[in-house]
Amino acid sequence: MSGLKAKYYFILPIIFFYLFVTIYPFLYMLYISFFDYNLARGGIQRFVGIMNYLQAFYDPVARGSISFTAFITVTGVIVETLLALILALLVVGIKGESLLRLSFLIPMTIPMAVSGMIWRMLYNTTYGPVNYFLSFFGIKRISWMGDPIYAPIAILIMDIWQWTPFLFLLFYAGLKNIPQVYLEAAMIDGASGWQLTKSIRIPMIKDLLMIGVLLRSIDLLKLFDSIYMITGGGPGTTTYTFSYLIYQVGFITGINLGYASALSVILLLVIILLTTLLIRALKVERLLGGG
Amino acid sequence: MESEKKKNIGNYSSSDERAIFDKFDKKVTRRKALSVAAKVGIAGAIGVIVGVVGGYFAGSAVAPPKTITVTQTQRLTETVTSTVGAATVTVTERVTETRIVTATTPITPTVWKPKLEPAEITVLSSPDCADYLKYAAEEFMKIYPQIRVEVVPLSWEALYPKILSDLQSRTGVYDVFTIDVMTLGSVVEAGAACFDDIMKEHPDIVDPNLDIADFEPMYFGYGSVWAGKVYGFPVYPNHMFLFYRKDYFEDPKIRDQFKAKTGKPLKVPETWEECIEVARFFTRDYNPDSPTEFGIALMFPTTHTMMYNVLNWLGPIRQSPTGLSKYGKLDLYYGDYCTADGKVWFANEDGARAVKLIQDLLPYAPDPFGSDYGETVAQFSAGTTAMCPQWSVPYGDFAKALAGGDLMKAREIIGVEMMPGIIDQGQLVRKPVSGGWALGINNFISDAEKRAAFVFAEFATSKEMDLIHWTKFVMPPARMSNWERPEAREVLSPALFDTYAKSMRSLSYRPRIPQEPEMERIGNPLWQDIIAGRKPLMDGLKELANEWQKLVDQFKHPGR
Amino acid sequence: MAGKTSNVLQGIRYVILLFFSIFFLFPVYWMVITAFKTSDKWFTWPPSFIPWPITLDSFIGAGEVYRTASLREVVPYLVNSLAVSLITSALTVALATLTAYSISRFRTGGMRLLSWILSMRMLPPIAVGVPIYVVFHSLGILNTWMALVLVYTVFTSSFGVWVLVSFFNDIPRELDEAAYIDGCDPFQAFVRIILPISLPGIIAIFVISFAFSWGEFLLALLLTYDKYAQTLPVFIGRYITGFQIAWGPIAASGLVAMLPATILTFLALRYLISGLTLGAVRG
Repeated sequence: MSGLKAKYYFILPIIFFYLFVTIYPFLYMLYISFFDYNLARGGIQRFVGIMNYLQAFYDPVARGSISFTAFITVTGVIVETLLALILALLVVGIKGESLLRLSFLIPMTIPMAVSGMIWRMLYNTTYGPVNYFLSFFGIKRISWMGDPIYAPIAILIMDIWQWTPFLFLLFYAGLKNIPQVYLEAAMIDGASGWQLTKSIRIPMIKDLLMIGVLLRSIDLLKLFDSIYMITGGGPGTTTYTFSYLIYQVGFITGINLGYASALSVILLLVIILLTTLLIRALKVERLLGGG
Repeated sequence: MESEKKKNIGNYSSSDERAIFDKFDKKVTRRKALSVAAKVGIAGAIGVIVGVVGGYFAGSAVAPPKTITVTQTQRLTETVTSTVGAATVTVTERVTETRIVTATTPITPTVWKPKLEPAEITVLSSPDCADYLKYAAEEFMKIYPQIRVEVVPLSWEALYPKILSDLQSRTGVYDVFTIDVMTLGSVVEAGAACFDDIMKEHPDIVDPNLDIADFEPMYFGYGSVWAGKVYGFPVYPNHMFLFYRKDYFEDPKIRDQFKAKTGKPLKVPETWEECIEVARFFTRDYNPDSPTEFGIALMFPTTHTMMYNVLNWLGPIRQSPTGLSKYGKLDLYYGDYCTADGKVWFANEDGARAVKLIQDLLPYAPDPFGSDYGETVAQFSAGTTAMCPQWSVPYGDFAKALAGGDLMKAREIIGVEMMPGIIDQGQLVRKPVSGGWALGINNFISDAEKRAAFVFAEFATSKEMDLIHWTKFVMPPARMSNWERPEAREVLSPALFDTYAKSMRSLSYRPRIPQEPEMERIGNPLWQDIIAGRKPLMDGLKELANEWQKLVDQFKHPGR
Repeated sequence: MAGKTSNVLQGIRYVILLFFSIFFLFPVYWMVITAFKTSDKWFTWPPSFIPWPITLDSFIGAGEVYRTASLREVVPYLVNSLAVSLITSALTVALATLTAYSISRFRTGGMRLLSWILSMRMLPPIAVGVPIYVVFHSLGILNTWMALVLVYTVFTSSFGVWVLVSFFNDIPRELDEAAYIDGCDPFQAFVRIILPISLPGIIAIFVISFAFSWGEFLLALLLTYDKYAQTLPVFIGRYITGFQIAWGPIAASGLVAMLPATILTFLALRYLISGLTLGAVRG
């Protein structure tokens, strides 16, 4: 096997794989999105052009899901990143570090279906511990899953609980991997703890921060699991994320695959846009140039 | 011999039941007096019977001895291990016990047993039927060991699209499935098998005891018949009730308190207006002396529940004398949300009245918008509320939680009454919403599977099993003959039984048109917006009525 | 932090860390105790924080008259989850190592290929779900392990390539060249030299792929429907139907579902920390 040919053989499996599992379905989905294809009404197919896409803009539920998805993405990313960063910075070098970091990492290892179930128990209006703790502050029982103001917050809190650990791991690993020489040199120069953090630690993991932000953004845009487990999109449709909307439209009541496909295409375009940004931020070309 | 199999009697202390079981009790004491040798002899006889049965199962065409069918309803509790001298057959038989009483009048065992080819059938079941269907499957497989029956429970949201897509795509993965009454239209359209056709094509699998006329006609017509043809057999007819804490309602101290506070005697509410008053009394925020924290456990989540629950308030208005004169007779395709000729009627002061009745009740429920079926059952079971509108199945959960599983004690604690309604033109109109399930068959499966599926459907809805799903699983009988049985009334809860019989013909109905699922997708969140006051009342009702009208108009009524 | 820090600041630091520690741990604690509570303690106010009396009913199923779902039913789903996760992780390692090696050493496909591969991880599962459902349906592989493995591997191998490329980049080329001089062709060099050295990275990929497959919910929900192939998360999700809230068995299943992924992740924590720099921290 010559070196030249070998490299192609190596990547052949994955390309073939991706083609089969992604490209072909995408094309099919794109195709369906231009039809009125509804399983519950006998799968009638009728060419409707861009009607499905237009419906996405007229449908108030779709619009609502866009605003909720935007809310959860922006707020989630900001809070999670800041919290993870603060925790990572605080934990490094403290006594009991290994124990503490274990406790910070646990939620990330739990499957989202399980965490969704746990939080659903915690949020139970009548018997849940969350309302119990709140009652110490004189706050009357909150209907976490039934109140349109609190349901989004419930989702937000759960997501923070679940994914801050992941960012924590990322930042913590980055911080631990900073070569000690830099820190020691600065300390010799008399830098204080805060200065060390500001001038060395944070800049050195700047790239990781950027990666974390973008990764979480993309993942939050796709949010589904916790919605399904905790609020079911409710109350009303206040906690419909875009993914959940597609699921409802395409797989549950209605089984309107045409509309669902159009929505999926839209979601994909947005994510592709963000991914391009991510790849640039990752400085992927560095992965090719370095070595 | 077979009828003398030892039974384990439950802890029933009522004299009627004692009398019923004294018969069997005597047989038990008699048994105890037998000597070991006699026991071995009995075991030997059993061994012989098992041997014969075994021989039959090996494929011979010998007519089965009666023992086979008796195992449907009775269970052994003894462990028998012995060696029968002559035939040198070692028999080990250990069967689990059941604590539930079964019918006293011996049910005529069905000797009929059609020839079925080996097949594997999958039964897609809703959660509330699943336990019973699993049990039925086990019993069925004992009779027909060449058939494998697998019961797959799925949540309501997952089940419905799964059936539709399976039927649509003609893949034939599921052979039998539970049909929720109002999905009948879309399921038929998607490809459910027509039972009339099956029975014509395969007359040998029609049970002589089938007796279709025995099925409760209203329920059968609503849940299993579409455009004059039969598409299923009823397995679980049901409607909603008002459960309440009988012990509180009959407690003299509490009754005095109520009298003092309201000037009226405490009675189980018959109208929603009365219910509001009673619920207020039982809510601690409004009455610090209340034994319960909240008056009533309500559920108005934006799920499938919303679609049916609202009818408990809308139904009585629709079917009151005034309502009937305004909106015409009830059409079983369009249901209570529509007039006789398919117009959505509630965007007016009648609909507003129903919504207001709901809204007035909300403050007395723990978490109306965040509670679904499971939450309200938990709330009543934990003693947090004094009342709970629900289906029949939770009775078992209530009995377990509030009476430790002691069914006699439960009768004193859990009261059952008809769902409240309204008073119109001097009449009390109560229309609890109806529901339930039928067993349907996939049309796109092989003949062998279809035959097995049909026999299973017959079996699970047969007179014997119909009674069992009431006594063991709190799924009310679908057959009129079982409603006549005194033991059916006695076994679980006479109150539940009587109330069911009383309300059986006075129900409200959801639309069962194929557009129903889309009506739900739009309606469930909208109803909550309206009830929660997030949308102005009349605007919300008009918007919902408009959206629904568009869908209803797509439906081609078979009768027109 | 090095340097002088006052005791007050240190105290505050500990308080914050402790607070969040409790925040992250409490829900897990709640699930564990609920699994061991008797059913009368599930719905109490105030909630009961100590499971006393302790019972194993939620695990072995109490023999009551009206059956509630018991843990015994979990077993087939457990098996499915294990099988799918293991197969996916193994397949991922195979695919990702091959691809990453090619890209790292030979820059195969350049930016285009690498970007395309990386973007796969970003796919919204639901968008893939609709067409994949139809395609798999016509292929007849719905409700099989293969269906899940095929789809999961797309996501996991993408991430795997990403991690491994930067990992391989850090392995000096001299090693490769030494192998060539010894007469190896690229594939042999790959197997004999590179793979053993990249064991930490490979372990990290394996663990992450395992955790992903183990916990994946949406695609399993769409593509499987019964215990023949359905995985644990969906099984648990089925309890949340608004029909029954038997919290004991739910918590018990959750505990069982959580343990493998959690334990595995913690065992491999070391590798994760060293392997997950993603080439973003430069010395």
